Amino acid sequence: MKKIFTNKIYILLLLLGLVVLLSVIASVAPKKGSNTNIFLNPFAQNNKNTNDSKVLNQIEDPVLKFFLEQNSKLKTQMELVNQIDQDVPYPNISWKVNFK
Amino acid sequence: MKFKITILFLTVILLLSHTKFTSAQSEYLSLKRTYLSNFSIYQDQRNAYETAKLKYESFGTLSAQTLAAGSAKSFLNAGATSTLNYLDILNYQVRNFTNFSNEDKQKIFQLISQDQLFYKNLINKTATITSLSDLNNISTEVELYFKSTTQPNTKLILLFIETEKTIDIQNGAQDISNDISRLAEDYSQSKKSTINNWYQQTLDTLSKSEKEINSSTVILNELLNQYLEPEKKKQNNEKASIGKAQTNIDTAQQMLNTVIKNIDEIVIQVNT
Repeated sequence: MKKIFTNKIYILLLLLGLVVLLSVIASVAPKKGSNTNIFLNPFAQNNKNTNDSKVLNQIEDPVLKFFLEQNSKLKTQMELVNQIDQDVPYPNISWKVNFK
Repeated sequence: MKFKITILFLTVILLLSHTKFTSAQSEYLSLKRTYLSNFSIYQDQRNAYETAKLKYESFGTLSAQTLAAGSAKSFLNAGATSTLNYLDILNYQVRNFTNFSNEDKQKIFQLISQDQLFYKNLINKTATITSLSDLNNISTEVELYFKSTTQPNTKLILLFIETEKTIDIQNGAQDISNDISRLAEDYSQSKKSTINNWYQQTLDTLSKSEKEINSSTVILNELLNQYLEPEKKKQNNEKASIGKAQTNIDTAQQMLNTVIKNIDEIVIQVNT
């Protein structure tokens, strides 16, 4: 029994844990062009609006900057509301069978 | 020894957290992939049926008939499967969206279950059909059900989801507006007056959009109760009601867009 749980085994377990940790980080990181999280977290998508970024950079007051950031999240949330159909197209199915 | 126990403990924790973290995310991705893949299969099967039917009508042989009947069964099956997959996605969305009351959730699940039962039965029925006339009859039955029940049901559920998400935006816009109005105290008289004017206008817009959202919610709840009782559903003009709910929620969203735009403007004005 002692021979099975050698130091090599513990190092392997540690490496396995690190691989798992990295895969968690990779899976959580937002992917470019992906909006697959919309039903779990409407704020998950990065705001790609460059105008917003420009405006944000011009604001120096940290409190005002915070409001703009919050507002930008609302904007993103609003955009996502109408994306359900685009993400998952409606099953327009024609069922008709007409054998003569 | 302590080091080894720590490594074992950390590995177990990481494995457990990985499972929990990815399961919710991958469930939606998996449902979506399955639906898109099966919907594509349906489209291929439908095309194969059209080709087989043309061959049968041209040659009229027994083998062409068998092939045509088989392809019709396949596309009906694929259609039912992809509709079931779509219902699974709606079910997932409602299940994971916490704004819904438990009562509404249960009613929506009941509505989805009625449709799921129909399409599961359809798969079982088509498996046993052999004659062309039976295939014609079952396709007429499912076409009617899809148009009169599944389409209105799914449209209602999608509108429910849209309305609940708009309520989130309404609440967020209300919070930001209130916080900005409190900022007025920290600024000069001219800025204070600009912020307060803006705040009054925003309050007015938010109150109007809230009324639109509430009207939409009332209509959707009435429709949900009607849809759960098909005999009641037939007596009401559901298309007009769902159209009104959609208009209400669209108007609310336009108003909220104005509020969001104004928040940006007021922040910039205060900053200058």
